[in-house]
Amino acid sequence: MATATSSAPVRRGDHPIVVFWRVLRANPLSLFGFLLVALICIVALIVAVAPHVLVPYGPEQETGLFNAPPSWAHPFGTDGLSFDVYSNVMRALPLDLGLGVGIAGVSLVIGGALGLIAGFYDTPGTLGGYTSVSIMRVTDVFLSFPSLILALAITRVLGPGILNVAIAVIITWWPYYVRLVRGEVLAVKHLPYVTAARAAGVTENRILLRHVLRNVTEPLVVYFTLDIGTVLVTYSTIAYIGVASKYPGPQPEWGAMLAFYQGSAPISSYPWLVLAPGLAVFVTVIAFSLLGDGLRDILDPRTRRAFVRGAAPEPPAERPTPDAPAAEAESDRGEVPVVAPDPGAVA
Amino acid sequence: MTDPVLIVNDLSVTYTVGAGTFYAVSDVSLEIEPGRVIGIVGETGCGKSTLAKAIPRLLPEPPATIGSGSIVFRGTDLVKVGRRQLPMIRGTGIGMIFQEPLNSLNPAFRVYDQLLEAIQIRHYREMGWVKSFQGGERPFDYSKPPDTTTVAGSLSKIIVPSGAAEEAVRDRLATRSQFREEVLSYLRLVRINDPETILNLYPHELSGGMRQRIMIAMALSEKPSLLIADEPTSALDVTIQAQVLTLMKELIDEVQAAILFISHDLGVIAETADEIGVMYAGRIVEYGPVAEVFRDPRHPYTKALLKAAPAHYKSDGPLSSIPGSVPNLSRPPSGCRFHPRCALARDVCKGDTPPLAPVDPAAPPESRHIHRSACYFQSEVPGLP
Repeated sequence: MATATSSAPVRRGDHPIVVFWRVLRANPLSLFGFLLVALICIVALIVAVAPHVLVPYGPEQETGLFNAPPSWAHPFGTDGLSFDVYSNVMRALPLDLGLGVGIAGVSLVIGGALGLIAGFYDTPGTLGGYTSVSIMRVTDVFLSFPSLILALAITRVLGPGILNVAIAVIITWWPYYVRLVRGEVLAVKHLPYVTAARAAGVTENRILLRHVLRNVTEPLVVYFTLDIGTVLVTYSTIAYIGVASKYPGPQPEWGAMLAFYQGSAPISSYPWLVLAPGLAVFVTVIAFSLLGDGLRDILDPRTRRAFVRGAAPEPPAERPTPDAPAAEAESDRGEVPVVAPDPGAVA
Repeated sequence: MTDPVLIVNDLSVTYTVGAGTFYAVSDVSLEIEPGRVIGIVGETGCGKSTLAKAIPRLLPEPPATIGSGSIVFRGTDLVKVGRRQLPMIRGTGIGMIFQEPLNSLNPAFRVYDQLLEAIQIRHYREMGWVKSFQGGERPFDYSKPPDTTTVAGSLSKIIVPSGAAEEAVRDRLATRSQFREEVLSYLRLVRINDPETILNLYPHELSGGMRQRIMIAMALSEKPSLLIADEPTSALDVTIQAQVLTLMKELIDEVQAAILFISHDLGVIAETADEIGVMYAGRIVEYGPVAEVFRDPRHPYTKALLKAAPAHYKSDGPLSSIPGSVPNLSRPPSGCRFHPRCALARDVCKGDTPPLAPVDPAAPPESRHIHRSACYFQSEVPGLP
């Protein structure tokens, strides 16, 4: 990292990771979000692979201390069953993170694909047009219900369980992606460069996958990142009601922990019990939100290029400044004699 | 004279918007031979861009409908070509240069990728990897009759070469560096200095003139036999405009393509075109060799248009304008569409549509390259103020 950010002259075309780092460094909040997300992911990985490194106690291992306040041995204290709260919060991390990314990811793929189709092949009167209308009307039906209530109703039908709740959330979640992607596709597909690609003989499917998709990716990825946090909150809310998984149990989950702790002991006497899983949700959500804001800058070649040193030749050849008008820059490069067309001469 | 590349016969294009129908192009006929430049001039909304986009069938259909007529491009009537075959025609025969250089390049791709795509499309068609259009009377020049129509078939022949045909296929299998060289050669063709640097830039890092050069390079890289330039210089300022025009004029000689040049700028047309068609309200009202039309306009509209062109050396008095306004194309005037604004208009102009008749009565009426005017009283036009 240190070498990448040093002010030594950089050769042409910096490595994308270097550019990525520079963009982040220019936005302190995004950098914070990115580091936090990275930390969360690494910790989650360690907990998933080798829990004993970071987690001293098992999910249902009694410590012998009941409702102990936070201490060095028990950073978040212990609960009424003498379980270590810190260990349980940490053990829930891989699951909750996976749920957030997984639910948002599946919604992104389903909704994104449908949105691309609905937005691009929308010529009225054709097969594509009818498909497009069908997709959008089904989407509207889903969007007309409050998603949390709908997810709860679906969970009721599917039965309790982590996977069932995840499916229920996905079922309520994909329509937002359809809307977003369709809107972006509609905006992009009428731009001249799409017509230019068509004129060059690029087939429709290739235009969609190469030209249109690339230009809707940016808002999509930003939305997806922000959405991971929202999904996590929604999932935790459903889990809080107690339909996802049971706590205490072999696999802790933040929503279920919250539900159990706020009912097991008075919050005023033992605030750390509720605080621990609540803080975990909060930190995860805020990390992804901050990262999402910064991603926009990273994905846009216009802002990204500003952070590449030495890639573009310096002005005035490339970027005509106000004091070096465009015409001069152009003639430097063009080597074409300036002959103004003269309408009057012929008329 | 060589065979025309493009023959447009009585082409009519309408737009259906809601309950209304707009007659954007009506009964337009054109012929272009290789190496010739035909300029189409007219004011905003007269249908010239619709015409430009209708020829390679780039109009969204619906709302646009090609009502009648034919567009015969190298023996193939494009009006009858199916939707799925359109990309094959566009990529290998007709090149387009668009009005907005700011938006005509994909902002997410570098110059190299933009040009590479166009070159690859042509190359793969030459290789027979991608199916080429075989309809019409004869196949396109570059699409050699593909003996192998699938990628797998072509690959198997390359891997196990035996015989002269396979040798030829292998020779034409371009590598990345060959593609890169070709991209560079097209950048040099459009007079770009330091193309190696430009390759790695994004469109937003280029000036308008540079972008338009890239657009021209893209259009040329497909080796088109017809190039349609839809107001290629309108969005540029005057000096850059002059450079791009000079470039285009030089390229006309080099590439030997037929060029349809659309513009609202009489000066630009005068500089570039061999023949000019003046459009008004969707019709060609006057047609002929540029010098003749400019020297001796025979349609009241052309005359008024030439008078309205600002000349920098005459600064006395207000600019001349044409009385009245452009007709609403959903309800075009009956007969001659210019009659509500015409000083020569008489009753016959309201009833019948005047045909494009030769100015010289002795000329053969079937010729499409002589000076013709769609006015019943064309002999009176020179007398107009």
